[in-house]
Amino acid sequence: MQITFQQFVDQLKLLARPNPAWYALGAAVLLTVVGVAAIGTVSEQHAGIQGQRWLIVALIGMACAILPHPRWLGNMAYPAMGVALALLVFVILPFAPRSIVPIRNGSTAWINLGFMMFQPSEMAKVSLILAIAWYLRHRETHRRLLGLLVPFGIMFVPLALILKEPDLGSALLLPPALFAMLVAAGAKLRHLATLLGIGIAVVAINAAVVLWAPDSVQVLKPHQRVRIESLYYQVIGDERMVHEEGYQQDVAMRLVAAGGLTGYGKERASTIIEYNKLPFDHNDMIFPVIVNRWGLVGASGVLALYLVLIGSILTVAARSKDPFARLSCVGFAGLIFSQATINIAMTLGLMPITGITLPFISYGGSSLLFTFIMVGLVINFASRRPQLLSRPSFEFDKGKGKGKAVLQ
Amino acid sequence: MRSTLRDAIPSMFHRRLLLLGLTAVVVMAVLTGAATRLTTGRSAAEARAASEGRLQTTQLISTRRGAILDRYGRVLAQDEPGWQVAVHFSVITGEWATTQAKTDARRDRLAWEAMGDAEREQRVRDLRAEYQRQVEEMFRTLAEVSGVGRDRVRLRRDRIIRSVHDLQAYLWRVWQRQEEQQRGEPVALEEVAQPIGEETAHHVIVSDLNEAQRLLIEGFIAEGRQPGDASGLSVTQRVWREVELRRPTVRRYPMETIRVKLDRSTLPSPLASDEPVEMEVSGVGLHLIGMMRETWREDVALQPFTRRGAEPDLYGYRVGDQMGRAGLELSMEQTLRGARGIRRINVDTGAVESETLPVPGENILLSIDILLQAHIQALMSPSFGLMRTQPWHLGPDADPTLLGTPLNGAAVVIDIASGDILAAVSMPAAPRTVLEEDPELLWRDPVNQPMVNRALARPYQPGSTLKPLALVAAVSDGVLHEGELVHCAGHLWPDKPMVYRDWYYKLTGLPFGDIDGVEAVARSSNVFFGIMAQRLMDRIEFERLPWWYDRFGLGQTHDIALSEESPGALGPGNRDIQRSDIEFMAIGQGPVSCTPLQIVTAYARLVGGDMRREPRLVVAPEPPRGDEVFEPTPPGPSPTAVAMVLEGMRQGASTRDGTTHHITHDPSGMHYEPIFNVEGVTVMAKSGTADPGSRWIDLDLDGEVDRPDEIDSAPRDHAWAVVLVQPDGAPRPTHAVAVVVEYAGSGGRVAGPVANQIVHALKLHQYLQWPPVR
Repeated sequence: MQITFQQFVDQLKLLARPNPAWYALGAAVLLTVVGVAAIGTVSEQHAGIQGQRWLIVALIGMACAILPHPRWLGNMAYPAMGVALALLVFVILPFAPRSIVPIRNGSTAWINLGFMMFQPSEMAKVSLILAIAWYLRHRETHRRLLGLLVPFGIMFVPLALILKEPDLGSALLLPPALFAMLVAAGAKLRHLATLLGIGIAVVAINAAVVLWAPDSVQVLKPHQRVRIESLYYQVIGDERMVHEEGYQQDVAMRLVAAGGLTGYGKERASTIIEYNKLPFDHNDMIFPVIVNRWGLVGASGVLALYLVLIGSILTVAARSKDPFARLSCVGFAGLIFSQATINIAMTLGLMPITGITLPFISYGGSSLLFTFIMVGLVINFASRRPQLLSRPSFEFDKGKGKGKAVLQ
Repeated sequence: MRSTLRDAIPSMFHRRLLLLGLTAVVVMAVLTGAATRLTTGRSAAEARAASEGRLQTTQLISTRRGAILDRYGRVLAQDEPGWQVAVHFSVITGEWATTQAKTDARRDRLAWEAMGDAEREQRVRDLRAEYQRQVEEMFRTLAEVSGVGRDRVRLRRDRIIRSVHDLQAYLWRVWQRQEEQQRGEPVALEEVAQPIGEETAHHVIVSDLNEAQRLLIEGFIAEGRQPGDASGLSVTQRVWREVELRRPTVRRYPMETIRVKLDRSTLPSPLASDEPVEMEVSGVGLHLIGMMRETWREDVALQPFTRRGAEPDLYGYRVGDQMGRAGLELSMEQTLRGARGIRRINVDTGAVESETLPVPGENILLSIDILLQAHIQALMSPSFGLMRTQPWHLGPDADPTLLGTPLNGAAVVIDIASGDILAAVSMPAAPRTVLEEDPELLWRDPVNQPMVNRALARPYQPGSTLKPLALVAAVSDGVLHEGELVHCAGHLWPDKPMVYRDWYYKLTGLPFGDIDGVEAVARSSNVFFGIMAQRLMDRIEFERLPWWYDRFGLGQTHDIALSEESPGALGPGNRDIQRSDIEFMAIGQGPVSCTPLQIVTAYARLVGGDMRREPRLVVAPEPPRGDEVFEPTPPGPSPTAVAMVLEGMRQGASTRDGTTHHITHDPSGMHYEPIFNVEGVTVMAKSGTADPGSRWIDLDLDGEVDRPDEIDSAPRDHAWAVVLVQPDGAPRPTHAVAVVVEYAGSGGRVAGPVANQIVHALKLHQYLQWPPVR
């Protein structure tokens, strides 16, 4: 699809119009600035790279995502998904050259591009959302229980490949994003509740098996089991795993608590974090660094910024008429929200520890690039003029109750 | 409500968005709540303290162990400035090299993150090899500078690792048991397996460095501790950051070896010479003072320095600490030890956040005169001659191959008025040099058992040395009167002429006939004291004689602050006492045994007339005694009885018929010489020749009689001599001496000359002047 110069100029003019996406962009940039400052607390080197290299790359990526027409993006959703799946397959190939696909922390989740370590799962998350949004945009099949099979099937392919890497943290984010999209797309809540209930039951049974069943019936891998065990013991106040498997979470919670209301300030926090030996302090464990430096005030500020971000994206979805844009925005919001929630919850002792970054804040090129691409896409969708006579999407309750039929 | 919502928001999509948005708000509120809960209130304060606590480093401040001094303030044991080099446990195990390699590898975080696991492992391996090489270089340097040799340093490292791991396993088991008791259910070891303090501590690798060696080591350490980032230092320098110089913890025994000049002119003629001899004696007082050792895991477990979930016990022990192993160093450990100090430093600011100063251990003042002790040890050395089998020791039919055999024994000297033990010598001696270099030689010698303190830890049958006590009992209880003659028919029991005989009857076939108590003591009649025992049993009380022995302190310890002190035996213990038991106890045979310390104490009580007089080894601080119950002072022996005993003992040492009068050098007895030849004093003596029954030598050191060659069924007798010395002009004896020579023969002939030399020593050291000058 060709973009003429006039279309490009028109698009720029549209972008200049105030819209809710600007709040999302503002929140994203502020979160990134907070992230750079937090990373600088524990590593000036990483902060410099995050601020001077990855942020620029991410903003360029975002700019690229602003321009294409949503229809073109929709058409490209399946091919992009295909590319992402191919890359996911590539990284798990046993004969993949280790110079290109190194093993890091026991996982083959990265591709060495020379100038950066690229994580295909980050691309897969965005492309999956676009693909599902494209798939669901004019359908009603997901209103039936069996109709949910296809979107779940689409999700399970990248999910399985990501788990194979293995990268449990990234894999965990896909179901919540899909759920959010299905909720918005009008799937029946009782169907989703049933599925959610089954999911919760599976998790609960697994946890029970891990905690109380003999070794012979365990299905989870040992390192996954000890994470559940350490969370359980931490919750019940048993310190038996504090020095081993529960160490990371224990230190994280201690540093969060020590931050108090206003935190220690940069120098003191830097020293305290160093001597408390917080692992992964510049990426997965960045939230305790924030709280330790800025206290509860800083933590609340970050949570508020996430709410602004999520709220803005959902507002863009609400104002959009394009079903593809609507669902994509919901998917992005769901993805960012789930990632932030899981990351923060594990550092507060509410969830087991797993490798997952805090969006916009944690150090990492791929993560920052694709979160800003999502912001760019949201701005893109927000800046489009609603098409006249467009059919209302995901409105499946016309004529029910006392409400009037919706004319859009 | 549902329809209201539909009216307000007609679009289903918008309502669903609202649902999602509200869900996000609720979840964020939950997260904010959780963060608020953590960051406020008590948990925040605790976490703040805990996380800031990580900024503290703890320095332990050594304490000074108390000194041990003799009665004149001479230092027998003290901590002296001597430098030790301690190395962190992680360096000793090699873990430090791995940690450093990992830290170095991660220093370039970007490169590290770009590496795969295999590359990372390889990188760490490469760096570790260099670190480990430098660690070994550091240990080599320590070995060379200190001069102890690489092998000993390596052995020391191995021992530290082994003992820390042993302790770790032991403590984990202890914690496991504690946890199980607390919870009332089985607990897996993994649940209590926390790192122990010793794994994060420094351990002494080399000791006793001199000033020059210290300066060298200090130079290396100073280089390693230059301020600034450790990454700027070379690997070699960084190793030295984990090395500590410590002082002063070297225990020295300055009077351990003493040169003594011995007069030989007063020795029995075969050994006598006008030329004095000089001897260097080692291990002086070792049996009393004891020695130090490194703590064992049991010691640490009993009183650990590191306590789980609590402040350290500054009086507690850590692996590698020194503590007493035997003697006063062990029994007075709590007094001598003191407490460490502790200093907490903020690594961020360098400020001292808290400091508890060390509490030095208390000094101990002994009653011992270390020069007299050395003198007696010298004259009891086999090389001097008296403690080797001599011709006059043996009877005419004895095996001549026994001549020259070294003899073992002990001697105790006590000041009667104060109870002060002036000397307590046990032979063979145990030199510290041997103890340090080849301790097994001393600890595992089943024949001579040099580490046993024979003066107070080994009970012997006392033989005739108990007869004066029996006389005191008989006279004090009125079953014998002064001057009363008792017929001694040669043997006690009319129908058994071969047992319970007088030595004179055994030798000549003639009885003593009618003798009084004084003569009975002087000539050491068995029959006389057998009759006394019978009179006490029949006229006073069946167990009257054991009751008197108990009053004299037999069968009990005197709490002189040495844990190895033996109570000996008084009575058969495992069965009812028989009449014959008591008859034999009257002559120091049968179910009675005692140590030389008990014998001199009994004589001190006898002479002083004070049945509560106790011997004293530690003058200050006064050691705690057992449960003291107030009792009225028991009546002492009658003065008549005491006078009879002293006269009997005086005659025993000074009249031709006395058993401690002379030794003979020919079978006819024509060529003899007196045993005691000290001028200016009156010597009262009683010999004892005790049949030990059989002798057990635990050759395989298994504590069991399981080999025929471990039993000697007919050993020679234990030879005893007890001497009371009364300086001219003194109203009563001032000093008591007890000598025992085990498996040696006749008391008078073997132990008598030793006792005589001890009296000479007392005189030489000015104890026998009246009025007293010391």
